[in-house]
Amino acid sequence: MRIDQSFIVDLWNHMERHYGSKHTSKDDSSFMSTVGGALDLINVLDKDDFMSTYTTTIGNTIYCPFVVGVPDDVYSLYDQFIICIHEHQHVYQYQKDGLTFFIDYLADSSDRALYEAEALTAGFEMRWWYKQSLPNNIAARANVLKHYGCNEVDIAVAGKALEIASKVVCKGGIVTDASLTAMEYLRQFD
Amino acid sequence: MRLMMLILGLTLTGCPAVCESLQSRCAHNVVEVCDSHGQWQPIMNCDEIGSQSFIDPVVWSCGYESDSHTCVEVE
Repeated sequence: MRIDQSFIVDLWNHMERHYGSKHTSKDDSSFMSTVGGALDLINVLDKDDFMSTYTTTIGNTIYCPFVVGVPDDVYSLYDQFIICIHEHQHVYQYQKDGLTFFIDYLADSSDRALYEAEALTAGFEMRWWYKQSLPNNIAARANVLKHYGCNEVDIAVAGKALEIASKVVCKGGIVTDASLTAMEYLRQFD
Repeated sequence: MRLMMLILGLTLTGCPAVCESLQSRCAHNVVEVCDSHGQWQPIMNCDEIGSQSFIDPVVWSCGYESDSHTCVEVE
């Protein structure tokens, strides 16, 4: 099984049909530019970094710093595979929890850490499907949450959640809704 | 007015911690972990675990493995 352009485009289409979501270019979004400027102003994130290295999901819209199906220097097709499922787990969280998701995600770093841990788990599930392997130090993957305004305890708890979920993932189990949805498409390649 | 004061008070003070951060437990068939506020949070429901495989559907149950609770396969 080789990840090529049509695999990625078809997977994104499958996920967007299922969740009623859409993706758009982050570069073309004046809204994202404004958000990036605001984050830069309060010293949370450099605006250029926000625009070029972070895929952002708000509601049912995924703002991508890459063209889906076109690999570039930063985002390989494999990266776009994992990002598709990770971001659709956030779409699912929004559809499941509604306004509560926005409030909890923005106002409480503890909740934000656990929402992100769940989306990272979705990425692990897809990695297991493709590579039959998981990263060596799973809990350390939660360190990315330093850039999300999470404190050390939030990050440790997210790492613990990743370890707990990984024990299921490495036995072929699927915890997240986005990965279950992806499997409907991926089973044709088994 | 008193109700509003109570709600405001609870909002400002939050809930008292009921567990120690990083602890895990089984609540029925749901794995929970204790968050940074000392509150139990669900991580996964073992009744809702799916499979990457068509064949041999697996039944999962909340249990203890290595150093934490998780969903474990039922023989």
